[in-house]
Amino acid sequence: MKHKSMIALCVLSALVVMTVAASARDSEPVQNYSIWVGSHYTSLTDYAKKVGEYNLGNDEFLPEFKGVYQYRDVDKLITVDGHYFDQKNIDGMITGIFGDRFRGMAYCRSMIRQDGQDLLANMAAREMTAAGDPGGKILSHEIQDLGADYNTHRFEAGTDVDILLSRKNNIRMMVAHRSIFKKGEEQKVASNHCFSCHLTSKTMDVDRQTHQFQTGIQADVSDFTVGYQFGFRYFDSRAEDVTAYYDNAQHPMTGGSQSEFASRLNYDDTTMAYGTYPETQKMSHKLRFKGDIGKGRFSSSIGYSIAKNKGTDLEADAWTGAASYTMLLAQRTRLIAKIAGTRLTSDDPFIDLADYREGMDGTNTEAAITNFDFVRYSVLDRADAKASAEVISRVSPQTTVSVMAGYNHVDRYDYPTIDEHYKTDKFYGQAKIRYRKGLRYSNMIKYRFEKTSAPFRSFRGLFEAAGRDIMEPDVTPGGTFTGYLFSYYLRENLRYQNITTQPTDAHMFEFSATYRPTMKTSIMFGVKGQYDKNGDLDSLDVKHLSLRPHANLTLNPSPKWSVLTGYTFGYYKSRGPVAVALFDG
Amino acid sequence: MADYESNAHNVYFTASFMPDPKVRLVGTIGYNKSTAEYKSVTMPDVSDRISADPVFPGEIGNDPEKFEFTEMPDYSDLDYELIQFSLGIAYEVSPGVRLTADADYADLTDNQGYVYGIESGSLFIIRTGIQFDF
Repeated sequence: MKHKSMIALCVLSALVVMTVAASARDSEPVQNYSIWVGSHYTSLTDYAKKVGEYNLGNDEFLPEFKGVYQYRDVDKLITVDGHYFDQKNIDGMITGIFGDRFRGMAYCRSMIRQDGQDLLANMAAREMTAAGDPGGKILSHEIQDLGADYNTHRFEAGTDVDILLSRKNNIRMMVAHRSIFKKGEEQKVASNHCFSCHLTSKTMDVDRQTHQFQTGIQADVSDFTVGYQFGFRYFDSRAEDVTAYYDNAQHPMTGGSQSEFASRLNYDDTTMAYGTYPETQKMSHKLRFKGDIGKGRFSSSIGYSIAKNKGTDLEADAWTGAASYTMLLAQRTRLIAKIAGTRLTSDDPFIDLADYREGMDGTNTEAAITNFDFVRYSVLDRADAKASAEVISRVSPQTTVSVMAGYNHVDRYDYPTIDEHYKTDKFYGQAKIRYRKGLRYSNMIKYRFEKTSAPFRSFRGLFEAAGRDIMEPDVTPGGTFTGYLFSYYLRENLRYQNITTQPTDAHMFEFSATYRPTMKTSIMFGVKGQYDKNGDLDSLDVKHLSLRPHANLTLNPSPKWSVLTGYTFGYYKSRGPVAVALFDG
Repeated sequence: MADYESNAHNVYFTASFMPDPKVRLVGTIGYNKSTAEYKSVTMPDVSDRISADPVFPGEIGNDPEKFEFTEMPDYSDLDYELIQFSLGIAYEVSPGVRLTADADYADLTDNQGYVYGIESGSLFIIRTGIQFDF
């Protein structure tokens, strides 16, 4: 029903704009219509969800419509564009411009997407005994809805309106909104505790909504423009929770040692919801200020936003600020200087866990009982500062050269442990040359280098340190067993060194050329590439390489013929650590 | 350590032809081949660590056959080929009135089905209609 209401809203908006246009005209307008009425037949063969990812297919002829309307007057322009493919694939947009008084846009988009079913075929493993036979621990899976037909319908509607309230002080108001509805079914996989090593796949309904709303006002005051903008975003899932049974804690083969296994878990022998979505909302405020200062143009903003997970009552807030200044250094040389800063703070939730090994029979001792409760400090807590300067110069009528340098500093709070700071600094430089000779040649070449010190890494290897001594590794190279009864055997040295996939040195390269030997022929080719590596790691060898060359040819040999052909290639190679999960940790 | 490599080739050809002022033909051919895979996984020698393990010293073997994960790269293989053809014709029966007919065909070949099974399949769409321009 809500989807129909949104469609009705779009249609109503179109009628209102068209009525306003008709009543406001003061000269002979020009109107163009184009309507297409037809039908289509879709056939899918074999596996349909990949090749027909966005098409459900119907082995019958279905009606289809398209329409375009355009209204032009002296200072008015209205366009309406729509396409009805089937009930779940609809596009529509209306835009209107009425002089400097009103600019508006309303749209709706509706589409279907098919999702495949993960067969979990890679989720099957079993230990091998000393004799080479299968035995011991086992990883298994269960698909309770094998062959399920997952698909989701996404409907989006939005509006964006800009109104001139008063020519005195050029007071303008802006209102925009966007709503996204997603319905259907999707796959959800529950993972049981490791003693039973079992995955369960079920179907979950999809019923999600996202709503965004923005409004703002701005005015010219003296030589400056000031403005305020408010934003609101809300997300919720109204689908019924899907549940899974978590096995009774016991030895998977013998069924014994129940208290031994249960003493390591927070819950067992229970049915619980999983794969749930949070209900979240975000509110933001932003002040803008821009104008001419000195010999240049100044633009700035300061903002505050707060995001809340309403399910867990956790919040994160952010202060942001940005400023840019543009000025002419010489007749054909321009400077663009920018600074920006962000301060992110998020709540630190207390994680309340059952005591480890409490209730264990037999060899249980009080010393073995360990409290793993902790406060989860977020790595989102940080200050982020950026500054850059770019000089653009037109050294000749054909050639433009630009040089840019920048700096980015990130200070993460309470990382890796509370009250500590983990700081990352990035310096970058970029040079770009563009050469144009009439319509015949157009070439561009760009190179950028980024140098990063201490990029983000996971401390103590693959496991994040949570600021608790109890999580100190009890297996140290050449060390001794500290007796925490908490030991994971990890075969790799990676456990004890810095882990990251972030680079310290990055080189980026781009080249493009367009050549038009005649007005009927155009040749375009180019390449984008990037190579980066991290040279600060102990023994890891982390690097990435990507290359994306492209070429195309456009020919218009006669008014009757038009040909476009081309080739693109994407190559990506990444080298990094691989974590292999093994039985026994 | 392991290398992950992906390649995507895309070739396309589009032509439109007006043999007569009332007739317009449009055709497209496209071919895409995409592959992605992990290369061999290189595991370090951890003999020293195993012998010095404080919990199970020397008990966990370092048999290369058990820990080289030679089959792991096969699990990551992706290999798709997609061929697309389309052909359309528009015929102006009178000023401002056109008859249209289009056909689209796509055939996907999955050479390394795994997570979702073999995903090979084809799609065929035929569309006819009449357009009015005012």
